[in-house]
Amino acid sequence: MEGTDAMKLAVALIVLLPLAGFIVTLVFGKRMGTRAHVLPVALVTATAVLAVYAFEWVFRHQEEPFVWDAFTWLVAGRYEVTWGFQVDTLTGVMLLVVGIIGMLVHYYSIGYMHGDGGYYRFFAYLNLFMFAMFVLILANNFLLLFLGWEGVGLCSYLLIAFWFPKKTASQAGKKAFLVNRVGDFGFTLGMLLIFVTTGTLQFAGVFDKAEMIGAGTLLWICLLLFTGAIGKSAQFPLHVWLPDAMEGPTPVSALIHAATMVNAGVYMVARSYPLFMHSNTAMLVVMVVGTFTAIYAAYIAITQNDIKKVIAYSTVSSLGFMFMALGAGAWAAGIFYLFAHGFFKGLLFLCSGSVIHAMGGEQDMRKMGGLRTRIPVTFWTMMVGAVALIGVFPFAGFWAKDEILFADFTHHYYVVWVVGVVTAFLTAVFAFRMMFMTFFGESRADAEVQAHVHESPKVMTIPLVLLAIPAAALGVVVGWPPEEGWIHTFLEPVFFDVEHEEFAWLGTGGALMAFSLVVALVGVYVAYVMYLKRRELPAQLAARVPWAYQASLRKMYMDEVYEVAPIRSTIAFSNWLWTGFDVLVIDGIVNGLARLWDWVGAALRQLQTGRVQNYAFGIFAGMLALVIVVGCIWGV
Amino acid sequence: MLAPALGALVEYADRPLSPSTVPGRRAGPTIHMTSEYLTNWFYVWSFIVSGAVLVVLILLVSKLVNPSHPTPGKLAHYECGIPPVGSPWSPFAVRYYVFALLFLVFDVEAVFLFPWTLVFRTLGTAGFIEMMLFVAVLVWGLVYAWRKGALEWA
Amino acid sequence: MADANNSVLVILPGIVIACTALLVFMADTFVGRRKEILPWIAAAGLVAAAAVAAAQWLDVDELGSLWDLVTGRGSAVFGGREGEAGFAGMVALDKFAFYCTLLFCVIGVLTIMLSDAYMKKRRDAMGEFYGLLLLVIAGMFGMAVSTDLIALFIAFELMSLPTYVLAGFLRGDVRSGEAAVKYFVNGAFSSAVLVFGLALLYAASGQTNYAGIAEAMSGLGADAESGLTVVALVFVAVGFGFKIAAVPFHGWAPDVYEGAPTPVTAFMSVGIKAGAFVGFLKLFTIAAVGLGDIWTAALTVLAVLTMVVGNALALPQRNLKRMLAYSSIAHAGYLLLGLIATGASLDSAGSSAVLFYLGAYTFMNIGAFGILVWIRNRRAFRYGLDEVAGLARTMPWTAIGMALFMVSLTGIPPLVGFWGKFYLFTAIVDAGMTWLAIVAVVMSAVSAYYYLRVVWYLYFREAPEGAEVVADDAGPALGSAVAVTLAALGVLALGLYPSPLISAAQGALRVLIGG
Repeated sequence: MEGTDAMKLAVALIVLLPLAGFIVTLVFGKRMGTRAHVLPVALVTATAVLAVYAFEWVFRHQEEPFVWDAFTWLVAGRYEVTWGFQVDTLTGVMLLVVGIIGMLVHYYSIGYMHGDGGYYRFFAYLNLFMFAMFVLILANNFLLLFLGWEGVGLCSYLLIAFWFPKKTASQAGKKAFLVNRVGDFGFTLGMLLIFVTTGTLQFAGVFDKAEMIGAGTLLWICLLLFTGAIGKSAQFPLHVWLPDAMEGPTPVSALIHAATMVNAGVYMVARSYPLFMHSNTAMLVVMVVGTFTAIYAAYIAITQNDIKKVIAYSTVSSLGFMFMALGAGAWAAGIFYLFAHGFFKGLLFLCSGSVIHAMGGEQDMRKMGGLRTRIPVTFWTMMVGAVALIGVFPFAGFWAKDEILFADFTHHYYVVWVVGVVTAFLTAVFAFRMMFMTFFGESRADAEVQAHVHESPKVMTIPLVLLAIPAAALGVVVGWPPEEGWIHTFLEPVFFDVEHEEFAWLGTGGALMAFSLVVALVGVYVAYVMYLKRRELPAQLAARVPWAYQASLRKMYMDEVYEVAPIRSTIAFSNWLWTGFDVLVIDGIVNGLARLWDWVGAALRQLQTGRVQNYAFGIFAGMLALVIVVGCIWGV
Repeated sequence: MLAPALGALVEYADRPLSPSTVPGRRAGPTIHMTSEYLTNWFYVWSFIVSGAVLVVLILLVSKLVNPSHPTPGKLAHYECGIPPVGSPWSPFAVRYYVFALLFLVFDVEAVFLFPWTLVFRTLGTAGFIEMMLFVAVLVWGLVYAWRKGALEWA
Repeated sequence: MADANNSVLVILPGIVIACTALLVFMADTFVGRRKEILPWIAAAGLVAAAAVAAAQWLDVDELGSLWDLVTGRGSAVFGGREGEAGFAGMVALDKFAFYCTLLFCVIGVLTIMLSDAYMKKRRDAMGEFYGLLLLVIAGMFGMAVSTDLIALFIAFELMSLPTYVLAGFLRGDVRSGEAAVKYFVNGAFSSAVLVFGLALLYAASGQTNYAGIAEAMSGLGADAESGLTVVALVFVAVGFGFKIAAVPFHGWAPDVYEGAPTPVTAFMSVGIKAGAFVGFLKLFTIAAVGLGDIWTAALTVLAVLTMVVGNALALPQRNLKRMLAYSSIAHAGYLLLGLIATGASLDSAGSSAVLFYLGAYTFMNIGAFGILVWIRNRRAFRYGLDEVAGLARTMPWTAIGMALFMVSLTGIPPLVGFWGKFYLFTAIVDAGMTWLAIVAVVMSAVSAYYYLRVVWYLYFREAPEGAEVVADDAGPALGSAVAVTLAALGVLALGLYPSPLISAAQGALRVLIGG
């Protein structure tokens, strides 16, 4: 019995500690002033330790997931919804990502948010986010997952719009919220369909019946679930909220919009592996959407000048990569990428935050440059992140990315493979464009800003270093040797029955690996030439093919498309609805009903005379009528 | 015409209960018994109805037969006291009400105490205790009334 | 003849409440000016009664872990013993009675808290107020434990008579006195009808015991559904309908609810309704279980009328107290659905939904009335809708509380009112009377108009002149604040996590249906 009771306690505490932190901080935080972070950070640290413990437990019990129905939440007819938790290997990986990065971001925020008016509020929201995220990944049924899903969505909204007096921030928050509603609507429908089809929402119950669901229904279920994932993981065409979400404080971008929440869509699809496994069409859709998003976002990232926007589009692209992997059947590789990505992208965001901090709030890369020597710790850690991102041997991204490309190739998705390689190239270009523009060359900032450039405090740099370690070494540790690394065997119980190609160093595998490494290095070189050596080149290029440049700069006109297509047409349609339909028909009905009710009410009021005799008569008459009515019904 | 029907009804009502219904009473009356139960009331109802009819009939007959020539002198009170002065709805002291209430309490107590004494031995100690509790509650009420000043006139 | 000691044990919670009432009356005459102690005595008595009831049923061996108790898993919550009968089968303390006793004690304690500011201004009458309140609760307890027509009627009267006095508690106030007289006259009339119905039930079956009646009726077979039983059950339904203010026996309710002191109104709209429902639920589902068609038909007529008329009357009200009074009628209509569902399907789901709803309704309605009391303690307030306009700015917490209760009364998730309606409507649909559920849902939608209009006024209207908060001269009303807070927490907590209450309600019914 060793373990399960301790595990119950651990899981309960993982969920409850951040919640307690949220409540206490929200209520008492204001009085704590600048020490408001103490409790939330301490609790999240404890949570991270527990998450590692839970991971360690599942590491020792890989074959048998920990399942625990803590208590019945609601009873609806014959169906019960439980607060049920489950820890299997997939959850274990997520626990590590969320727990560790969450903790580091909390520490980092102590420095980053120092002196902010909403200091306590920030930590309260972060703790609430941790709670919701843990609920999301620990849930053993779709409804609880959905609760966490909505919870992280709410926190995301609150934190994006954290500086709500700023108009853009509150707008961005609203945008994220609304766009996510579209996805959530699909997810809700998917859940309903699952429930109608299988009669349960428990993962185990649903997946047991996955094979028996008709192909058409299954496709619909998968597509609807995937709609939710598109919204949450910012895939085309619902990706528009994520770049705008950069209005939030940078630790939020790192934690929520890079390392954890946006992965929820990937996690959910991976979790529903038994469903997707049986629907090739759905898999194809996942892959196509992911692939397209990957290259599309990478292309946009090349011309962005806001340092956080670059990383944001990079995140969208990386998430596309993950879906590409899942859709291509490389499930473990996709989660591997998620795992590695959480660390190096979180790192990149935190580094960018450190840069912004050093530059006194400046985010435009055109006004940076030459920061390498001024903020060395940030530079070196960011370099690790960038190298990991573009997939240079032996950093984390290399192993994960190459497994995905390898899977595309060996599963004969050659087009996808080509797109993937091009994306990798573009990634290398924009990542090093960012590095060169920020850290190399001469400084383009004002003198005043330059004078104030300083390295961030220890509480910020230490998390950077701590994150840089897994960003550098994680790939080798868990991904070696390719296709047979620890992560594969570890995830085997979750992704059972996956086809699995042999990786040969002196065959396709080795060749592909070498090729993609070369592509990445070429990308770095191109960036070097264009943004450091011959800086007139980009402008010339832009002049030569203005449409291509403009398309990238204007984010493929997606916001404009939304403006025209759904938003304008919705406004036009609603105008019509308002003038034509609503005023005449609906208002007519509603007003008519209201008038009817008013009339009925007024008429009945007449009976309310206030005279006791009348009431008694009412009783008497009612009694007689009732006797007659019931008597007539029963014919006696 | 009425007589045979009445005769039949009386006969029906007087019939002996069938043997089957007597031991079967445990579960309550049957539908037959409901009718019989109603029939038993037949006498009562006929008594009431004929009584009412008789009264109405007599009054009606006297009204029709007697001559009526009213004059003020005839309508005046005749050796029956003096004409009333003022409204009959005069208030009376609410204290009477309290006393009536208290009286009622002890009245009920007495009503229970008498039968209790008759079966005192059979009931034993438990019966004694129960009655003492009952009396205690009433005494409690008396004390309450006393403390509230309900026993004081003025 | 049942063992006397056992009988006493069976009604022990009721004895505790009644003795506390006597104690309060007596203490009132001895404490002089220190009357603040009286509500504490009364509350302590209720807590003690609840503790007694709980202790009688929490059989340590069968309890399971504390975790099971909190999470409401299985029936472990109530232990495993069967109900115990006392006084020759006149009463029985079973899981049902246990649930109800706890509910009544909660209602009582909340009412006591709610009335503290109110009673501080009327210190002379404190003893009578709390004593009578306890007597009513003792009567409600009697309703829950009765298994005999005689016991039922005694409990019914014990519950009714002190209420008449409470309704007329504001002796100087004309409307209060008028309310009391109206309530009393109509109440006496309906009691007469009820006792007539009970007598006819006895006439039809030859039994006064619920189980005996059921047995006799089933012995009659098809003949049981005679004119006699129809009249008997309809009369009983009328007496019952009067107490719960079902249309067309509701005439007294708005006047009385408006005229009576607000804490009393809160108590009547919740407590008396709960007492009447549990008593008649037991009568109908045990004694008249085989005659379900008849009383279901009667109650269906009442339910439809009550829902429609109650909501229609609440719509135009601009006085909050009166609006709550009418909406309380409408809620009685929803509650009837549960009884009808049980009668129509012989499934306990409907009845347990009633028990659940009574619990839910306790929190939201006492909360709503409590807010009115609270506002009135802080500033001039005549319960007008216009007077609460813009309250969100002057009294933000109060406004949040009011909004919470209004939304819950409308039945919007995730608040407890939603679950109450959800279980009721599900039960009636499962019983095959979907049309009734549709009527109920439409009526709920109508009710949204007048409930949410309050929220609209709270948040989106400008405050009227002279709405400044002024401290009450009688000092802060801590009790009402605590009561409202508890009610709000109840509404929220049970909304997010209703399963303890619903499994308790279901556990309570498992024993009851079918005797």
